[in-house]
Amino acid sequence: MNLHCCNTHRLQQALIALSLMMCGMIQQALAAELSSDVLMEKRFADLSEQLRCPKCQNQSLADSDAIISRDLRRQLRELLQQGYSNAEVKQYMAARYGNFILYDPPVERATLVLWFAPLLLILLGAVILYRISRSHHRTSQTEHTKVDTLNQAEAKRLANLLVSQDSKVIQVTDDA
Amino acid sequence: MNQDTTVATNWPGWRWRLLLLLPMVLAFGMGALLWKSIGTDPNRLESNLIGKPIPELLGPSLLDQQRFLQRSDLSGQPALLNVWATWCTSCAIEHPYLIQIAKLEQVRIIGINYHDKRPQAIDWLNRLGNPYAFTVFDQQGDLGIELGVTGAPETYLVDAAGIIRARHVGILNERTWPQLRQQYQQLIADVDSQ
Repeated sequence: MNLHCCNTHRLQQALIALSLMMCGMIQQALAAELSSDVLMEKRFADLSEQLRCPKCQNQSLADSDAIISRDLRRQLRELLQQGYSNAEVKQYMAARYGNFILYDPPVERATLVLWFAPLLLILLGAVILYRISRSHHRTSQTEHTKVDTLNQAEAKRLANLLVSQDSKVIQVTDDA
Repeated sequence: MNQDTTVATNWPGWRWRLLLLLPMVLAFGMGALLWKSIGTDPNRLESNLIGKPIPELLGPSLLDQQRFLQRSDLSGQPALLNVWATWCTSCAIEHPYLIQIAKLEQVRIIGINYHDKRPQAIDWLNRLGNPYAFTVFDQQGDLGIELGVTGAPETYLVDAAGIIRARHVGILNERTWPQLRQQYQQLIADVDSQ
């Protein structure tokens, strides 16, 4: 009886220890799975924002409720589960639906204009702005130098004039 | 005001006037671009799969559940792959024309029943007639993804080796078929000459 009791007691202890150990293991496994799931979900959400619905003009796969978008979202999830990288997923989609499906199209001959036209326009604007400001600068400089030389050249005359004027004024006031 | 006049006087006159033409040039360019796009469908995309073979495995047959269809079922003949569904209203408009070209021009058409229910699809063919040599039952749209299908109706021209040669988005009718017909007949001629 006593022996039996002790045996069950020991068994209980062993079971508790075992279950605690397993708890820890399960928790660890769960945590790992959960974090990989969260990561996968994040990638899924990001990619379905970066891919365009091929049927609609201005909706991402995430936004669109078209049949094709639902199919492609399902396919996207499957590809991620199969271990495709983000670049491989995009390649897979572009191989079937063309670059249209990518919101961020690669630099190619056909997309050169798309990528570099804004830059060219900015450059053109900068050149025009520069030329205008330079011509402004030049005119204002010449005006200044003109004014300066005038002052110097006619300083004497001006002074003389002023003096004679003053004397005239004095004369006038004197007359009055 | 004052600044403008000083710029104008300092820039050589002809160069200044050339710059004034810029908005007009831009407006004309814009106009030409928009003019060009009149009448073109923005939904029409180039297919990336032209020149590529259709998948080896196509899917189960619509009419014969036991049968699984493969590329080899093209049996060495050029064909049209026509994507259709009973929920697709444009497909109902297109259907009589498919029957017409299948009958009168002996065009080999293979159906892809897309995102549909089997009983409804079979009923549709029984009621409206069956222009298809055989029909793949693509319930989940898996074959659709492999072909780059975006909706229904959509038609692919496939050569004898199963390589995609052209894609048409939308209804086939007397206005749209002639472009494809030319290519189709060329493919037939290629087979005959071999």
